[in-house]
Amino acid sequence: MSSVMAGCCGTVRRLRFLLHYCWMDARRPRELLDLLLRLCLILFLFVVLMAAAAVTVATPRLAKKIIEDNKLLRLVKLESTGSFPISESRMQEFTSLHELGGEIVPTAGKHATGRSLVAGVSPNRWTPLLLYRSDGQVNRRWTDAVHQVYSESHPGLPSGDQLFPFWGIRPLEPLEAGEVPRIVVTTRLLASLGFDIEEFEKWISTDDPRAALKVRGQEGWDLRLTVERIDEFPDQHVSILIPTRLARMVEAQDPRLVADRRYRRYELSPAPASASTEIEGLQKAINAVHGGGISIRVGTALSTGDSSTALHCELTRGLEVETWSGVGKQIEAYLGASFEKTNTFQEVICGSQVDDRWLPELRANMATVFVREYSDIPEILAYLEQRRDSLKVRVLNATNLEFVRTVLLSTAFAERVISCIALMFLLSCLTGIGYSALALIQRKIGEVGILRAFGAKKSFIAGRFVLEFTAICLLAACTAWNLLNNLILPWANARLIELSPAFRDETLILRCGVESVGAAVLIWLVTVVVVLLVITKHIRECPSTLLSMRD
Amino acid sequence: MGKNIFEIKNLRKRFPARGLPTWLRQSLCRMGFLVREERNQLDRYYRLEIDELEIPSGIVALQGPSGSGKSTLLNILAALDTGYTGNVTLVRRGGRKTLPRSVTDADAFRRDHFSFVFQSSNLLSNLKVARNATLSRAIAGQADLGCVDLLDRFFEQQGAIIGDRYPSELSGGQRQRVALCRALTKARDGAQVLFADEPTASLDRAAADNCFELLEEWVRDGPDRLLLLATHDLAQARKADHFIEIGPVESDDPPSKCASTSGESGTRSARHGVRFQGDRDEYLQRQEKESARQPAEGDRDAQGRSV
Repeated sequence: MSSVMAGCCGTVRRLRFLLHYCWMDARRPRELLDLLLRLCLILFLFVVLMAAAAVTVATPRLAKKIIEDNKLLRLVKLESTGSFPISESRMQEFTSLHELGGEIVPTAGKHATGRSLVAGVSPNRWTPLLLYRSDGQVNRRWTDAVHQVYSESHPGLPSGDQLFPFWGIRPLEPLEAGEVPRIVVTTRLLASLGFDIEEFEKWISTDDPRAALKVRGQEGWDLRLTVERIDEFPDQHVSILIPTRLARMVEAQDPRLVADRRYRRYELSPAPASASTEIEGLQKAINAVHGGGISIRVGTALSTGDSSTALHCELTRGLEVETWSGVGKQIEAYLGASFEKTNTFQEVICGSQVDDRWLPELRANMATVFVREYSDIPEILAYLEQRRDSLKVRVLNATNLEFVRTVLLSTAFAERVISCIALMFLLSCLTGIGYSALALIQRKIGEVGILRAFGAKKSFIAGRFVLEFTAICLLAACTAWNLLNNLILPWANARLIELSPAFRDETLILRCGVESVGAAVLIWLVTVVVVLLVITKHIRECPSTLLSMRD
Repeated sequence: MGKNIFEIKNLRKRFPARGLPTWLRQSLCRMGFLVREERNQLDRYYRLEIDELEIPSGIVALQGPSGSGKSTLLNILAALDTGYTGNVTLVRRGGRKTLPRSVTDADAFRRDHFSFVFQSSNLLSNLKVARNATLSRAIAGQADLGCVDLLDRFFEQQGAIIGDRYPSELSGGQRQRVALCRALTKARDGAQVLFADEPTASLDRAAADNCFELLEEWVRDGPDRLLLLATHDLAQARKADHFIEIGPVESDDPPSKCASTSGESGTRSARHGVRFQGDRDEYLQRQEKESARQPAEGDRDAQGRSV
């Protein structure tokens, strides 16, 4: 036992001396300069490599992913009746849309997963919506753009971050006497609130867009959320939009809600400090009432609905239609038939699509068909071609298929080219690091001779160099990661978000993180291999030879 | 005369000239790519040959002209150089042990039995003097007990100040004293043999005597200890118990292959070996004879020149 203890103590002392040795070596001016130069070399190559990997490799891959996996193969557009021209500039789009009473829904059927602001305005111009996700990742440019457009016609509109407290629906113009604000409510909300949906659809599908909407309740209706109701939704995620004004009206209509405070337990305050507070309170309230099991995804399935132009609908999970404001019937009217229960159409988005590639002569208020699989395109195209006359299907580009194919092929080619470039950077990096390790050992060959003369073990001598390069690699990796996280990734994210607002930067961060760690480990491994090879070579030589090399 | 510490038999060490391997050199000569002068130059090498030598304990002075092979013999005996043929045995307190020929075993052997002072101080420049002086303890994983006392004795009670400096802040003589302190620290921690290759060459007389006294003190303090000292300093050498002189010796090989040499041109190889071995009295007698013979030779030369 005592010998084991002595051995452990000896190892600890050796390690302590090794650390001291490396530290003393590093703090001397000449060695420090040398160390910094090596660190800069590693860092430079590291950043170049990572930038190449993050920006050039990740971008085309993600673009391809967006195109293929995120079902964004725009194939055809269905003209709508209430179309209007759209300029190329996104800002002008906003302006034009607003002037014409249009709407903008800058998502691609991914309200729940998009990180951008979901903004919209109804055609009657008195219920603009400013809805957003509560994850704090609101794209500031969207916010600013929306504010810039709406602030001209709506003085006093909160700007920038002050838009965040908006939750629900608020009229931006003063209501005239006797006017009731038009409110769009999801059928999910109504279902979850216990409304009779059919009755509600009758109210909301009126032909007169300016008809006042009165919130009425059935006799004995209750706003209490019930688990049974919510379980009807397959994904167990409840999309709840509870406009503040609606809440007020509901409360005014049914004092019982105020009396038993069940509604208040949802903490739907008229002016919440922030949406997250409100949602958090709502979640707490739901948990308190139902014991959990229900999660809230804020911003899911929110849209401005316009009963006259059928601006938006979303089809998910096959063709299980979810409609708001009676839009579904109008979509069916567009297509001339009800949707078949088939998985061919993974999503059908009808509405205005914000896209930089839209051309001036194109029309807004179109329906865009997105497909998941490239191979499905001909079938879908044929399906739509059959209905061209009746549905006014207009193929945007006759060579669309060729275009898509070209995009995919060029993306694959670009990926290979960029992979080669990244590989070259990696090789040059590894060569530089290996040469640096070699030069360091050659320069310190005399010290190796001295240590060996005094009986230092091979592991002790190799450990001295491995320790140094491990520290350098760690330092370089941390520094490079910080640079990536603060400089390169935000820039890359901005570029990628331009590709698609539905882009999630977690993918790129994860990729870069993995690649950073991988590169650091690779550099470290190469260094260790070089160190061990060289040290092994010198270990085979006699210490007298090493000492003579020092002289 | 003390107990033998080293027993050497049939030791052969050859220093081939730098250049091409023998087989390639011969092939190039045969093909005419190398002229004779180049071949002669490439063929030149030195050899150290010791048929039998016993080194007793105590202070042993290793002498000889520069380039005679003193450092080579020290390196071989200290297991710093394993590229030789023959048999070198260390007589330890617990028995006899042949010097290991594998590099790893030699490292462990040195760590356990030997201590060194090189011609140059060979300090680790990134460590302070105190750390340098206790380097062997750090390598062996022993507790660092400090060495200020010893440094004090080397530096006239200035050990604490000197110990806090880096080697680059010291003079050459001070660095050499630190190297001596390092060797003595290791020797005191249990080494049996201390190899000193001209340890006081860069010191003044007083400092050299002081250092030698410390080394001598270590040798006399314990049994079966050996201080093997390669030196040109006659005053210091005379304090040794035993003397070994190494230098060029007559060769049995044909003259074309091997000739006794002291560096004349045209010779291809030089054989070095033990020219003298004995205790202090024998050495002093030999010195007297040589000193008496040298003036006579000098007179003869002078006469010859005058003629």
